[in-house]
Amino acid sequence: MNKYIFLSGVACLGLSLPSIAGEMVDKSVSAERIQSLSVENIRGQVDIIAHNEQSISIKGELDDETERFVFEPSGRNMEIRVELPQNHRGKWEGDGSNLTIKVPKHIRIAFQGVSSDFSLSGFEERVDGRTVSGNIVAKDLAKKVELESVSGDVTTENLSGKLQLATVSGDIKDKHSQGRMKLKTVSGDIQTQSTATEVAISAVSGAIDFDLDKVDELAIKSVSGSISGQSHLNNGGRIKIGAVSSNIDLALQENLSAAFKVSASAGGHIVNELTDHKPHKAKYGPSSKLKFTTGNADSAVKIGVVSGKVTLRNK
Amino acid sequence: MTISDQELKQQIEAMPDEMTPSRDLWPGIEKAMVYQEQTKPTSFSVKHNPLLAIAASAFLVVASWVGVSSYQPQPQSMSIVAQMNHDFEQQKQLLLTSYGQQPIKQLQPNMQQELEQLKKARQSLERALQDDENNADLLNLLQWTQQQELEFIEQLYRPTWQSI
Repeated sequence: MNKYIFLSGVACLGLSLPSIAGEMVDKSVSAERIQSLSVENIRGQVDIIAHNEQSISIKGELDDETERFVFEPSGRNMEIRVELPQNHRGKWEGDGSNLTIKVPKHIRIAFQGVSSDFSLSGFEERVDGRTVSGNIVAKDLAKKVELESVSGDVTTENLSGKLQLATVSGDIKDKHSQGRMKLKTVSGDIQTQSTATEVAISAVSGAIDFDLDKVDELAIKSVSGSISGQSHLNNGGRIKIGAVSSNIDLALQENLSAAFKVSASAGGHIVNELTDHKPHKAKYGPSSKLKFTTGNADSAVKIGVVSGKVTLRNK
Repeated sequence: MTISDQELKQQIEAMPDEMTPSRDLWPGIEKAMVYQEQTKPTSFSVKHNPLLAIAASAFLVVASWVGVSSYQPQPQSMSIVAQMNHDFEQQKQLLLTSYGQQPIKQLQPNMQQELEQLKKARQSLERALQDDENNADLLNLLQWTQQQELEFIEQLYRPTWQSI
């Protein structure tokens, strides 16, 4: 049966034909020997869904400006490519593709686009994708996940493993992720509600908002965007936050046993609502520091800001 | 570790006036001098070898030209911050040159604003470091901010970004 699907699929692979703009497509091939899938679509919407069958199928409508459509295996990689005419400087007429691709969940996925939106769900292997102005929505992915959009938003849910989400001006919204996570943006906002134990977040002017369950390591860096959130710091864990002019609001669990070191270098302001310890102002210059320990100081919290306000409080 | 001038003076005064090597080195020196005498090449004059004189002159001209052209003045005793800024500016120039020195004013206003914010952040870190020049956290933050600016410039001028 698989052979039949494969052969019928191969028979349909003469799809590198011109003048197929806007055509409907409905193809399927065996995924028996396939280990990875790469998808290239310049504009429109592509949904990549994991399924339990040993086949790769594609269904939907191609871009109105499609010059060549590729749906063929190259070694153990399956290539899907919607090619548009060159030299259009991004000014194509009509609508982009609208495609649904179904793939076995154990296959590695790579995708890229320009203004194309992508959605993915259910994969157990590595997923790696980038788009320029399109949005990316990803759900239920495991292992290594790297998603990047320049000006589009990246929205994720139930991701696990080693995660890396990045944008320049788009927002990152993450929910129920776990494992190790790295979130990065320039001017976009970051919002995460996660059970990841190792979290690194950086932004230039974007706001960072986090709700973390139990962390071993949390590292945040920002230039001017606000940083606010809450977390439970595990025994032996470490939180390190560095910012230039950001306002930082950090809520931690009660009875945390940690060594705290907070510094504001130039006109920054420190508010401690965790204990009665007060910040110490430098004799000369505008800096102030706050150092104290709670319990046996098993964990460490280190915050440095130049001119922002730091507030420490209980969850 | 830092020590005060007073401590440094005391340590200098406590040092011995002279030091003797752990073993007698004179026999070795004598032997080396004798060996040099024996292996000294016979003297020659450029008067007898004009080609050699021309080659030597040509070599000197080329060597001095290479030396002058590759010389870059390094300020004496540069602070860490100055060194970081120097490196950063060089990298930034290199990056901008590689993308054809496109004027920043042609960028979208919000992107120009981000670059301005990064610049201001660098300046405020530099000011903070004037009061505490060896503060590792501030130095790290400055380095990170510079890195963000370089990465941002790279992203802005990348062809994919230009396409939108």
